[in-house]
Amino acid sequence: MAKIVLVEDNEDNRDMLSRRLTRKGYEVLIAVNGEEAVELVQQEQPALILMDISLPVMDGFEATRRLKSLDSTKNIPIIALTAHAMSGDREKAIEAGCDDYDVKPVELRRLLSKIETLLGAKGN
Amino acid sequence: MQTIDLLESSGFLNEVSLLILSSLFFVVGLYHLYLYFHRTTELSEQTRKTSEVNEKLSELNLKLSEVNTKLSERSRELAEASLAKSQFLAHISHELRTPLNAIIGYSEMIQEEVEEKGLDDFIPDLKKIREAGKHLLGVINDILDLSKIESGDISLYLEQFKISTMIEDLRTTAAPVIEKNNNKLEIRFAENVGTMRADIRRLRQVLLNLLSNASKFTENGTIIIEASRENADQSDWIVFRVLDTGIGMTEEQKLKVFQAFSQADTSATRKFGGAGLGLVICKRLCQMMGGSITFESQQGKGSTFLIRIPASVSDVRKETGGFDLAADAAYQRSSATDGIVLVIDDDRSARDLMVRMISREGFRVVTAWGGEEGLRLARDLGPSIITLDVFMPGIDGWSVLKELKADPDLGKIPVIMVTMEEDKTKGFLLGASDFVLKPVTREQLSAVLNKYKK
Repeated sequence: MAKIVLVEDNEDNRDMLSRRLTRKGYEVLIAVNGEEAVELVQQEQPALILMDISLPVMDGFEATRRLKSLDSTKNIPIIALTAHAMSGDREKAIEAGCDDYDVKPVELRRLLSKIETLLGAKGN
Repeated sequence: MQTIDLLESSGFLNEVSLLILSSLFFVVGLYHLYLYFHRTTELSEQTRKTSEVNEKLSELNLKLSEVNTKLSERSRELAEASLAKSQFLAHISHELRTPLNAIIGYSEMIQEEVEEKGLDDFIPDLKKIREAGKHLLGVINDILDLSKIESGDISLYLEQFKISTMIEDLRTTAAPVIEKNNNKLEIRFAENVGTMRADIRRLRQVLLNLLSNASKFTENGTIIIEASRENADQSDWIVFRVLDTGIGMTEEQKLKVFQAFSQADTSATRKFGGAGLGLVICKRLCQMMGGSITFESQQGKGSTFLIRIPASVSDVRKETGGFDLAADAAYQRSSATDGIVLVIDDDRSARDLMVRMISREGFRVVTAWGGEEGLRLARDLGPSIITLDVFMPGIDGWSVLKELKADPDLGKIPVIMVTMEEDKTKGFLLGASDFVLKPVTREQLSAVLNKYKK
């Protein structure tokens, strides 16, 4: 069962996404801000990270940059989740080091295929 | 003659001529005196008039500067109001979208669970909730979009892309709305249609809107989307056509097509839904890209919408902060070989700017907003370069510098001070390797970073 860390500050979004991913067979771990995310990922070494961008304390881009700089976590694929869908966001996500990017509201099928692609590439 | 002799001899003549002469002089004198006074009064009259005019002029000048002051105040108020409006919209958009996402998401989730359990009876009602949610989201997005466009808050993100691929992708996205009315979609493009440089997201938005409209007003019919390349006015244009075999428009409806909220007429709105903003937005977006949108329609036969976009869109507007968004392709991820740069700055916008500029130089960037955090990160990550803002309220940049240099592991890392002051003595004494003066420019930063990279 692949481990996914979901970083999302909104309770409803967290609830919906984690339940739906769990039903698809993933083990979902939660962090509610960027800082927690960096710690949790180092601890748990998940197969993939879903990173909401607008987070309190430390935003998703900064958390991504940190994770991509640490040897222990830099190879874990990160999918940025953004509410904005502005093309500037896509560039920022790539710049920060994200492996892919998806927009909210989440379309589960689309997100799942991105997750599977990244996990497949890692041979998980 | 005798009279004159008489007069002469009596000396009378002398006195008379003296009298006549002096009278003459007197009269002349009087006359000059008169002239003098006349001119004086004339002059003073002129002077008076001139000073009157001068007074009026200074009054006017005063009024002008008053008006100027009022104008700049007004202008500042307007700029503030505009910023407040943008911030309000951004905030309210978040407030509106978040609960809507919950409505859409949960109803989808329940639908999945219910399908799994075989409770198919619930599905139609759940679908209705989801559709209402999505519709509402569409309306909100349209309103916010239009508002941003009207206040010039939108910038284009230009990239080169293959037109045929873009249109094929549209097929998948448009499929649900096309199938809804049992329509068929045909895609046609000329062989030479090639690539174009435009904002692909906005172009898709326009084409999807046209396809959605075409399908909305057509039942059991055909929708065709065509793309071709034309040469006109010595440049290349890409022409997209969306044709439908639907109900078409009346003459009256045609007049209102690009008006906000009109959607031809209210009965159409009731039957077909929609807020009537889509085409207004499409028109604005086409205009922003330097193109145009036109249409033809025949009642009962169908409509054709035509958009023309330059094959290479140029964006006159550039983002502030010296960051050029008109990049040709998606930004290439930097390789890690250039090392990590740690930016220590308490100001968020300054940090963002540094991140963008440093990333573009090919470095990985990490940020810290305080001295303590900066030190911790420096120890954890071992960056190759550290940039340090000197003036952080509440945090002494100098003491951070001292600590960095005092640490046996971190002391060797070159520290670049970011400062407004010209005097670098203190910095160098404390161990700074170099300086960058605010406002930081890409050239400055690039030179310094390249000097100290490993």
